[in-house]
Parts: sequence; structure tokens; C-alpha cells
Amino acid sequence: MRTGESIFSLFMVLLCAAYLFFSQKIDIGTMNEPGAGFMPVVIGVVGLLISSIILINSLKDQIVKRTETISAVGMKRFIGCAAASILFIPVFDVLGTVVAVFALVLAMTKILGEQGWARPIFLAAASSAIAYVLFIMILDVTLPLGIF
Amino acid sequence: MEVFSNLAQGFAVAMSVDNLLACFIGVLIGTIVGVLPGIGPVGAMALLLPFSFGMDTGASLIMLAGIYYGSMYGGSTTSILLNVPGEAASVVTCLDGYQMAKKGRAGAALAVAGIGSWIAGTVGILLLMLFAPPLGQAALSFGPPEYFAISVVGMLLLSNLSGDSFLKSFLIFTVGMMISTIGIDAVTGYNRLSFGVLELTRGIDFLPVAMGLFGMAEVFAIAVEPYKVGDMIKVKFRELYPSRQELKKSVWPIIRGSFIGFPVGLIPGPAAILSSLISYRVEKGLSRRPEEFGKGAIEGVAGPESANNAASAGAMVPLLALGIPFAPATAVLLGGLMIHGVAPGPTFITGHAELFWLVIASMYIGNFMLLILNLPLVGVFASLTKVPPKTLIPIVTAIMFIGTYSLNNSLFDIGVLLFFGLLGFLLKYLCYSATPLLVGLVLGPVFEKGLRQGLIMADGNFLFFLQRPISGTLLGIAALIIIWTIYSGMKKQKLIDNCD
Repeated sequence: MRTGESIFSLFMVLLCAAYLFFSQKIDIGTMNEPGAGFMPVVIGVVGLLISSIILINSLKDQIVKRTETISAVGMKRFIGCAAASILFIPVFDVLGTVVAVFALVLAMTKILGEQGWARPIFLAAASSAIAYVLFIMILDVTLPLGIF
Repeated sequence: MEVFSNLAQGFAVAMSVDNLLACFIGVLIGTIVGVLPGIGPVGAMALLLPFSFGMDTGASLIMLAGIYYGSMYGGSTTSILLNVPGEAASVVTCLDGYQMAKKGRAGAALAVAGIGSWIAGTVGILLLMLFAPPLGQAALSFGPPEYFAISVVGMLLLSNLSGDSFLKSFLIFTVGMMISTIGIDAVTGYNRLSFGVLELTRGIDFLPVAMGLFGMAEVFAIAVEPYKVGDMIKVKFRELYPSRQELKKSVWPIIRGSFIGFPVGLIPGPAAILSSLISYRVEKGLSRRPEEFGKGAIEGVAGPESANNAASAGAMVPLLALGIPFAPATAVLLGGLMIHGVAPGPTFITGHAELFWLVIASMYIGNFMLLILNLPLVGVFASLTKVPPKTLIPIVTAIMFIGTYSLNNSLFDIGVLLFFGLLGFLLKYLCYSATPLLVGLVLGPVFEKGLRQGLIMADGNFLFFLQRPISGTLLGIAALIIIWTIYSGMKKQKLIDNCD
């Protein structure tokens, strides 16, 4: 956790530094007429300062805090769900709502540990049918229909 | 007298079929969301907001508000019957509620939680009704320096009260403000930090961020460690009756909880959780038998459950009177107002009086509906937790994606949802609170507008902010908060050094 926190703190320092770098290119204006860059520069400076303090503290911190570790199985589930979620976007765009919802629900149900295929397929099919009827037909929400 | 005539008019409109239905759907969903671990009211509200586009403005707000205060009722059910808090604000109820259930007093605990929630909710709405209009009236004289000062105090209080570290929460708040600067600057029209990406030109919409931080992040957290629900303690309808002794012991905790919760709801931060914690400590401190707390003391259920309901009403005051949301849930309500073309702010209560009083009246009705729903149907709601996460989570995820897309018909928004979902999960894992990020995103424009316009008014002289009575007082409070934070941090460090 200490390592994770230090890495995150370092990332925040870099993020704030980058934000400040790009912000100072915008016209800051003057004190009696602040420009578009005024607020980003102020926030960037404050962010950089705070994140630096946190980074220094995390490197100096001798107390090992109790932390929740992620099990290997949990990590696999997380990666699987994240991948399924990311893949949803192109599938949704190209193949449409029905196929995308079916694939997402099927994938996530299996990733989260559902045994067998009958129940996940039924759940996925029911979800995509309900999504089509509810959102497209009843609520009249504009969604990609893709191959349908 | 004008207050009551306005309220009567609000009731007249609220009793229409559409509005009653919207209220019922809102409180029902809120109760379900409160019961189910992992999915909180903010995620549910953000999820349903796009689908409320086609609804009337009043009905939409009634439904969303119903989800918010309805979830406070639902959370206590699983805390008492399963020792699993359905909602963060009900964590404290587990301490004594579940112990009462183990002793065969689950019905009494549920009844007292329900009655206390109803009374406190009603008191909270009454106070909201009495405080919000005059505050809104006073806020008409607020200028940019006052809004800047309110944002500063809000930022500092939120950072102090969220998470376990002031600096971490403050940093996350700053990140939220950074995100709010992306897009076209409202004053000069300059395109800031969009890097040529067309979608970034219109800025980052806060709804996908809200859904990501509070919805998708929970999905990932549950994927890593699915919640397990043990055997539920069964309770029959006829057992839903506390003894005379238990009712007598509950009266003062309910009253105290109501008046603790409401002011806590006014301040930025996790108001519902804070109010229930403060109430628990107060009840334990005042009790003649504090050793009973943690072992089934009815006061440990009555007080906190009342406080969190009153806090949800208190949280509406800054939103409705000033147009400033200090909590993620009210930020989503703000989004609802803006989507329907209603400008929140001091003129909301006077300019949209019929809408304000409609929402107030519907909150009274919704609270009553919750009391009727929760007690007889408690077994039904609690059994929802038997739906395994592997079935529920994929469906919720699909709904979240569709809802996000429907905001602007944009795949980019789904990308934002996913990005902030992953970020929210990471923040959770590293013990950072995500609330400051969302509030920073919403308050950022208020802060910037107040500062820039204030400096223009003051001709660049920052002392102008201190010379105005309201902004000066608020900035003075902000300075005291900073001094106190530094002092308590140094004291804590000294204690750690002494222990070493």
C-alpha cells in the first residue's frame, strides 16, 4: 500500500505539473481583469504544492497502514470486467444496443463466477430484450441499432 | 401564513396522478437502492436522470429527490436484519440494530427506525420550508465575492470531513476543479485544455463522472470482492411493534436526531454518515446506561436513523436557496434542474415558487409513503439482497452504459464513465474519498466566476473580499479552519512521535 500510495502521489505530482505547464500557456490576464488562464494557473500551483507534500509524506511515512489487498481471483475478475466494459464501446457502436448488451451481460456474468451457460445466456438475452423494449420502444431513447 | 398557503398550493399540484406516481417510483427505487449493498443513491439518481428527460420538470425532481431520501429508509433494513449496511449512512445502525434482531427484537428496531425516519424527515422538511426561502431572499444580495467565499468554506469543510486526510481530500477536490476548467471559458470564450479534441471543447459533463465515481467504481469493487449476504433474520408483520418501554426510550433520541441531522446536512461533506455518527455519540454520551450501546440499545437505532433522514432534508437547503450543491446527491439534483432549463440559485424559490413548493409537498407525501412501504414490506425488500451480485451487477452496468450514452448520444461519455469508474475504484483502494472530486467539478465554475468577477469588481484588490461583511466573515471562518487543521495535524504528529 505504501508503494501504491507513493506511485499514486508521484502520478498526481506529474499530473498537476503537466496541468500547470499547459495552463500557463493560456493568457492569465491581470489582477483587475483575470484571463482564461488565471484560474487554471492558481489551481495548478495549489495542486502541485499539495501533491508534492503528500508525496513527501508518503515517502517519509514509517507507519505501515493496514490495507486491503486484492486477491488474485479478485484481480482477474476486475480485469475481466474492465475489459468487457471497454469492449462494450466498439461493439455498441458497430453492432448496436441489443448485441452489445447481450455480450456485456453474458461476459460479466461468467466473469463474476456464474457456472454453466444456460443461465447466463438466458439472463443476457432477457437483458437485451428488456433494454430494447424499455429504452428504444417505450422511452424512445435514441440508441444505435447496429445490425438490427 | 404565506408559507402555509404556498404549501397548500404545492400539495394541490403534488396530488396529481403523475406526480404521485413519480413520487412512488422515486421512493420505491430509493428504498431498493438503500437495501442493496454497493449501489448507492447517487449512482441511482445519476442513472435515472437521463431517463427523466421526457418527464415534466416537477415530476422529474420529485422522483430524484424521492430516491435520495428513500435510500435513507432502505439502508436500515439490511443493517438490522443482515448486519450489512445497504447504504453508508446506515453503518451505525448495524451496531445496535442487528444486536436487537439477534435478541428477537428485529420488528421493534425496524419500527422505531421507520417511525424515527418519518418524524425526522418531516421535521427536516419543515425546517427546509422555513429556512430556505429567507436564505434565498438574503442570497439575492450576494455578489461574486460572497459566492467565492462560500465555495472556499465549502471546499475546506469538505476536505476536513471527507476521507481520512485533509490534504488528500483537498487534492482530490483540486483535481475536480481542474477538470471543471476544461472546455470553453464562459467569460472569454477561449477553448481551454481541450487539446484539439472536439468532445472536450464542451467540457466534461458531470453526470458520467458521477456515474463513474459512484456507480462504475462500485461495480469494480464488487467484482473484486462480491458481497456475501448471510442468513436473514426473519420478522413477521405482527412483530413490527415496539414495546411501550422501547417507544418511550426512543422519543428523545428521535427528537435530538432530527435537530442534529438538519444542521449537519447544511455543511459540505458526507452529511448523512456524519449526522448518524454524531447522533450515536450524543445518545451514548447522554445515556444512563452507555454500556448497553453496541448490545442492542434502541437509542442507538432511533437517534442515528432519524439524524440521517433529517440531514437529507438539510442538504437541500444550499441547493435550493443558493444553487450550490455541497453533496454528490444534490449535485445530481442540480443537474436535473439544469437539464429541465431551471436556473438554480437565489431566484429559484421566488422565480419558480410553484416548483419549489411542489417538491416540498411531495417530500411530505414521499415520507409518508416510505413509512407505509417500509414496515409491511420489510421482508420483501430485505429478500432483494438474495439476488447474487453476479446477476445484478451485469444488468446495472448495462443500464449505466445506456443511460450515459443517452445524455448526449455520445460514446465519449461512456469513455468518461469508464475512466472515472476506474479512477473511483483506484481512489477507493488507496483510501481517498471520491466525493471531493465531484463536488470540486460542480463548485469549480462557482469558485472561478466568484473570484474573477470579484477581482474585476475590486479592480484587482483582493482586500475587497475581506471588506464586505458576509464574504469577509466567511473568509475569516475559512482562515480559522485552516489554522485548526494545521494545529490538529501538528498535534497528531506529535502524538505519533511520542508513541515512537
